Amino acid sequence: MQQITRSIYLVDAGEQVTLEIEATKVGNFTTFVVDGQQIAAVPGSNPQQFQPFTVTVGPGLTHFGRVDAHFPATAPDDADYQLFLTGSAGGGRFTGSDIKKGNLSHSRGLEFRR
Amino acid sequence: MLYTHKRLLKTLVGVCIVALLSPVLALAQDGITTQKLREQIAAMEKVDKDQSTLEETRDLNRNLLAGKRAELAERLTKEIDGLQKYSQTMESSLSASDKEKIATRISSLRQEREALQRPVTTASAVPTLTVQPKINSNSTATATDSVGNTSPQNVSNHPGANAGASASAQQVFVSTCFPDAPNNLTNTARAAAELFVTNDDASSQLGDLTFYAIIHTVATDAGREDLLKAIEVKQLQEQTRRTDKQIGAGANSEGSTSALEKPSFAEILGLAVEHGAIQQAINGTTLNLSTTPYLFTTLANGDTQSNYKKYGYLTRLGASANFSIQDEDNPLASARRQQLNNWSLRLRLSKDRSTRSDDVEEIWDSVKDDFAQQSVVITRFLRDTFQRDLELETRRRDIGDRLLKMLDEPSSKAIHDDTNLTDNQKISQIAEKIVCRVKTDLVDSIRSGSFKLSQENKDRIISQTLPDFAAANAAKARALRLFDERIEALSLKPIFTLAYNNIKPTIGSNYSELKVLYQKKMFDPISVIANGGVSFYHQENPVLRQKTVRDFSVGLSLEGTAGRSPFMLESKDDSQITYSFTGRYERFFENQYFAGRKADIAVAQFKFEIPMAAGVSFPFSVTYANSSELIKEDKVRANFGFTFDTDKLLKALALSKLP
Repeated sequence: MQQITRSIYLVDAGEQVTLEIEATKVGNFTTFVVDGQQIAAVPGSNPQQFQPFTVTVGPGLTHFGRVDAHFPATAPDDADYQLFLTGSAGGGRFTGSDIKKGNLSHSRGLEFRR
Repeated sequence: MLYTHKRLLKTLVGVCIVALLSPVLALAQDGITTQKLREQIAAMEKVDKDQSTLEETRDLNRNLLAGKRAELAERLTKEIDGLQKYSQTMESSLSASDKEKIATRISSLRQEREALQRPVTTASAVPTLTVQPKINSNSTATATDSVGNTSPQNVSNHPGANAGASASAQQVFVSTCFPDAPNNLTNTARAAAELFVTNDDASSQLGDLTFYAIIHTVATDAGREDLLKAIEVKQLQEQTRRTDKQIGAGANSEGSTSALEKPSFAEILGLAVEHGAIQQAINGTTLNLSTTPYLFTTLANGDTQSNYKKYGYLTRLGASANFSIQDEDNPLASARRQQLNNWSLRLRLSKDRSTRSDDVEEIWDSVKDDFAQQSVVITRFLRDTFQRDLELETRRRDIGDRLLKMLDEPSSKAIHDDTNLTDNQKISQIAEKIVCRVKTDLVDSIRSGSFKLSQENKDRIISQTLPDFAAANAAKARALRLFDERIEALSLKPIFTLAYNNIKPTIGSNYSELKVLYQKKMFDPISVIANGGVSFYHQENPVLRQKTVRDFSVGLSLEGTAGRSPFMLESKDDSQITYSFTGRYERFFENQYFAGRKADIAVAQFKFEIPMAAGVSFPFSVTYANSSELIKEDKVRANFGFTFDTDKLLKALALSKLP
């Protein structure tokens, strides 16, 4: 996997992509969806890790992901979520976007391009 | 035969040219010419720049100017599209010189369009017309703020809002080049602009921008605005801040304004400076510091949820120390052993009921499927639209790359680096550029047919995507409501805490106090707090008729909130005014042996606390006591002070950094 931006990645056919979200000063109140399918979190994972999904699209096409985060009213205003992405074909663990309580949007799109 | 073929070819070329340029020709015939439109815009810009123009006239002129500029930009886009198509179709028949001429013309038109999309800059003009929330997409915008508006305008009519947009920071603006842009598109553009301005990642909003632009265009063109209006999202609202933390000194401390102690305590560090006295015969000034061992684990690991899961149990323990203040200008300098009045340890017996607890994560698990529905609909739409059409996907990527490239341009960087602009102004200006780009590259391209959405795609958007998205918005609102309700129900569960206080009074013998503290929220906003405890002398003084057991006491308090403090100028801070009615009874055994003293001491107190600034509040209490511990004398006493809550101060610091 290669990182183009913090939200756009180049992936290989059959590669398994894993998302981790580190929550700071807030609980794990996030969801991850890829191509209309909600991805389940790995139970008991710390930081929260979602089940890997496999790249199945053909060359030139894209898997579309989206992360939604929620901050309870009692969460401090400097609470945030940090995204990390890893591909099974190598490239390392990439630091993705972060989501702060004060951000205008608590959603982040992710593109996995072939 | 050859002659016939050549004639046929010329005829076809001619037909192609007419067909490809037909939109341009049609535009030119549609009312005024493009050149005339340019002249009108130039005249209007002159009026706008004229210092002698009346403000009312300027406002009207600016609105008309925005419409004219948008119209010209649209014409230029169509002309560019026409020339591009012509160039592609005729590529083999054009000479290098012809191609260069066309390229130059396209470049010139693009530059003109870029200039139109740039904000109007005059002495008093602003790039973005910040307006009151739109009632409908066809309403006329009215400029209300001529300086880019730095004051946040909270809005509630945010139809189809991007999934997690925080309510407190939303602001509706009307783009000059796309006045009828839907709120969800402009809000997403603002979200992307904020990420750009704060050096984060604007590309994370490309999917949402694409989604909102396409569904809006398709629904509008199909005459199905009703589907767009059906898309509404409940705004996330800040709830009341917790008021169940004991920040000030305990009831027995000199100078305390609290008659009873609360079972919760500051998680990181609570600092309270209070002045006055309740039950003690001596007035004093005290400094109270409190913390939990959990603080020390965060120094190494950060206050992450992973760390909380490992060490969150340490928040069950609390420690605090109370110091006499000698230098009121520098209270922390008094935090020395010599000034130590008392110290205490607390152990929370009840389960963690904070929003980071396992119980709340279980609640989240029960609502997260509904919460995720917006993302399900958006990513399914992107999959269905772009994973089946390589050409369209290539176009989508080009549009996304162009948008990101625009943010790399000097004009965008100039806004980013402009120290004269507030972050909010930067966001508005960048959002304007994004909306304009989305308008030309997506909305206009869909309408001109250069962004080829199949009829199947359009039908699916009308019949499936829009109804699903409306349902998803409702599901998300329902999930958040349920989440809040269940957290609220959790907060109604009682908190029990065991407290040990080691007290060194200014007059009298040192003693320890063992207490059970109880708090239960009865109903919003009333909580009941109860204390019961017994105290022991460290070393009895027979002369003073002291025995091991010094006293026992019970107390009951009803506490409530009375809305947001009017002194909080920081609009994002929801600190609440709190009030309480308290009754306390103490049996002070040794007093029964002395004339002029009472063994049974009763206290009634009314207290209120008004937040004055971020993390700083002013507690005031009026107390009636039938006696003090040392003198049998009825008294009514008023006490006041200032408290500092570092948790809130840290929050306020973070808030101040937000745009």
